[in-house]
Amino acid sequence: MKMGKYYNKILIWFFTAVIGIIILLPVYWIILSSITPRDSLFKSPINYIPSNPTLENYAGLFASIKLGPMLYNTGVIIFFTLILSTFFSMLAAYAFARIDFKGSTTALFFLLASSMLPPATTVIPLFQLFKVLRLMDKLEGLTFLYIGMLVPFTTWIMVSFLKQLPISLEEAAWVDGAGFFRTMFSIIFPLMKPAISTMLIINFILCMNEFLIPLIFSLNKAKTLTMGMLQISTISPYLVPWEKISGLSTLMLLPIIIFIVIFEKQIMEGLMAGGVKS
Amino acid sequence: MGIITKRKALVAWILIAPVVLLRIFTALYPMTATFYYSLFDYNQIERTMDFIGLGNFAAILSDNTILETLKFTGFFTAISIALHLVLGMALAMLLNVQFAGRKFLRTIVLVPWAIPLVVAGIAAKWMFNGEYGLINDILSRIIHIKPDWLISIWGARFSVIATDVWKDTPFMAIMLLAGIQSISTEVYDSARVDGAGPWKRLFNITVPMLTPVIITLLIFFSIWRLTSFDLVFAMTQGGPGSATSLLSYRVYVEAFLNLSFGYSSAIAVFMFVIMCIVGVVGLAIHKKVNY
Repeated sequence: MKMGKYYNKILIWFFTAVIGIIILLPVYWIILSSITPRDSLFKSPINYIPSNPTLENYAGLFASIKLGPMLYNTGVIIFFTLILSTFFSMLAAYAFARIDFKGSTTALFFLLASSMLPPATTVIPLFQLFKVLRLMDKLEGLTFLYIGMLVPFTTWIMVSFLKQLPISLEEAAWVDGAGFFRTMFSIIFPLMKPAISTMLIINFILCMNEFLIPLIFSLNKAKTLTMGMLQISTISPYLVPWEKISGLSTLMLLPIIIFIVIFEKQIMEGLMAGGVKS
Repeated sequence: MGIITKRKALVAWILIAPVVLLRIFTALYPMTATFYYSLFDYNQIERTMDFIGLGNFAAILSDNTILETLKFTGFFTAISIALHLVLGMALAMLLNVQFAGRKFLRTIVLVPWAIPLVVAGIAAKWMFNGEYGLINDILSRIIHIKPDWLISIWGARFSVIATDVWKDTPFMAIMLLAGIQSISTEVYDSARVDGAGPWKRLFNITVPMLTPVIITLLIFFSIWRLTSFDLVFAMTQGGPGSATSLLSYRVYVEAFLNLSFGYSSAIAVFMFVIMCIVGVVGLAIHKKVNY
């Protein structure tokens, strides 16, 4: 019996180590490549311990594409997307969770069903609409699409969160004479903090990752970091500028990894809450 | 009473209006328009916009490259999903164990999920590089072979699937973990009292009780694979030839490289129909299992 327990423990640590290597080795190799001199990258075998680390790849990266504007665009889009998508989702979630109205089920079903639509079935008409409305290559246009992408799931998570909150608090507020909107803003929204922060964290990552929207709707001025990644990898059709790719990858990966390490628990809970309900 | 109900409904509609309008503009309207365009010979280069009924769909059925794309899309979805499920289940069980490395495991599992797919795809392209890539470096050290991954048809297909599995299995595992944790511990305790070993508990309790969750996840993950785009775009551009071309990637190529919006829309509608079939069949199975 005791022997079995010991054996189990070894197995568990063994698998953890294997998974750790499979997940982290590629990440380590990307970061390692970014500080390895260019010549050594096009040599085999790979040297896994950096012998003479350098920052020249980063200098080359900054010289070859305009990262500043891309970083700014990504930041602006994410900032406004997070604020507006959260606010709109909270309003809608309150109505869905607390008001019994005609069409409520249909509207919620519409929201969720529409989120299953593959983006490929919507891009062409949106592309034309954006040309007519002069929203192409504009941060406002991209932000609008990002918000549209995030609201169904965000609303859904908030509806399920609100449904678990006891209604008695609101009733107490009503008895005290607080109006409908006052109750919503000063009683309910503060209580929703856990759901709000979880969704902000998850949505931040989804925004950082978004590729199709900027690919189609940004041409030049509104390019995001993901577009920078694409641009740098396609600079020349004949050779892969791995030293620059790994540099930009590292710049994008490090903040994401730090973010995960800090918010592991909340991300995990948020993803799992979404999983159980759907 | 009637007035209060009406006022309440009005307030509710005002509250949900932003979200609903957003989805009408970004999903419902464009999808309807795509259906409409699919009936036209609509090409931006040739400047045509002629109604041709189901002509585009007839063209799809006799387009060999589309059939090849469809075959690979099906193959990719089936293999990738099978691997997701088996590996995801194993990982979910490991994530559920209470041990000192749990926090570490739960943190690193989020890394592939959070990495932008373009970054993963472009890095994977280099990783599978025949001369300088990470994979061949390891292979040549251990078994002294250096396959040409992205140049051969099956090598490229394998690489795309492997990258997809690396990127998304952790997410599958987290979803399965949510399902596992919703099973009450009492069931396990009484099974243990009855002398059921770990394998018996897995196949007699966990798997049957998770079946509804597994089917739901299979529907979602299949639909995401059937309609996935970023990975192939970043990694292989559908190549070599059209060996790794997926349907969504074809929609993009037809629309934004060949500028034939009508044909592209028809492929999108075609893909949508396949997706609906998968969804309906999946839901039917889900219902059957549940009752």
